[in-house]
Amino acid sequence: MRGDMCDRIANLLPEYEAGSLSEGDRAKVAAHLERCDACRWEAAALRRTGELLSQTEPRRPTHDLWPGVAAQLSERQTRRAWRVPFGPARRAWSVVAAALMLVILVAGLVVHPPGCRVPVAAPQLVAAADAEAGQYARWHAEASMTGGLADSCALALLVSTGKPVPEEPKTQ
Amino acid sequence: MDERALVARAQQGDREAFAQLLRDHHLRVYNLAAYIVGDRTEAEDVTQQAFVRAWEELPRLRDPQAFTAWVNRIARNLARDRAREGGARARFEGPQPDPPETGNAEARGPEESLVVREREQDIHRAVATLSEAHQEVVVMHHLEGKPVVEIAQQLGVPLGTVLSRLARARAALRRKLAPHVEDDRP
Repeated sequence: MRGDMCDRIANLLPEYEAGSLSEGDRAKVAAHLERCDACRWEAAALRRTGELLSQTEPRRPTHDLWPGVAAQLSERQTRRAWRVPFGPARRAWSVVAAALMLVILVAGLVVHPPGCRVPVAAPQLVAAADAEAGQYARWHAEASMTGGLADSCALALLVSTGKPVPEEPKTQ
Repeated sequence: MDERALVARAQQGDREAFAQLLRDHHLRVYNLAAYIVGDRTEAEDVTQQAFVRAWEELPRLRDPQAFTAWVNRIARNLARDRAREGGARARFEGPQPDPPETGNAEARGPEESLVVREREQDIHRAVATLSEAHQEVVVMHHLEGKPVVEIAQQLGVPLGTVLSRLARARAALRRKLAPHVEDDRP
């Protein structure tokens, strides 16, 4: 028959079975188990719980997990290689981009200084010197100034020669 | 190669060393994740994500000996997030595609195998109801078979804490698994 002592022992039994009780408590529990069938039965159930757990296999994944992990690592590595980095590296890229823009701006000022409103064209076209060819060259040169990509050929000529296009002949 | 060396090599970017760490730790991580998310496919996904995260964070791990507790924590955090996304914590059930076998499986008949399998499902469901700290020591000690001293080292807690957690976990499981562990009362 269980009494107050059995309740106190029942609280100590898990630690007793786990081997974590102090020497004094351990001796107290052991002495009680000697004479109490109910507590011995409870101790046996706890012991069997531990044994049952140790006989249990862990759950296993249905497939090898490494290939999936390796694929994700490779994918992230590739993505990171293409991404503009943060921090100091990103600042360095910003400085390089700003310097490049400055060089382009200075080159533009040298080739076409402020105040010079007359575009330039290739000497071959200038040499043609008749009104129609001169106007044609002038239009191309002007188009290259406002939209260089739209008329890259004329822009290249403009940068290479740096000569002004003749004024459009005055018509009567 | 011991685990410290493996962790150190993986921290230098050695994928083979990291693959070995995954092979050594994935069962525990998978089981802990499964107890939280309650679904095997989700648990596999969480386990993979945990190791991807571990690889990325590995250079910041200061103590290689803390790898076990650290990767457990990553997996549990991911599993909790996944469980929240997936709604209420589901029960851990469903057919086992790759059935675990205990003891001498070949010697058992189909009926006995079924009994063992049902009992194991009951046990896993019961473990899933424990606190995460208790699940961790139960999985490491009973399912992985690690000595308590090693568990204490790997989790970075005193031996008494491991023993106490094991004792409390077994007391809770003893009640949940009563039909499997109780003989006729005296």
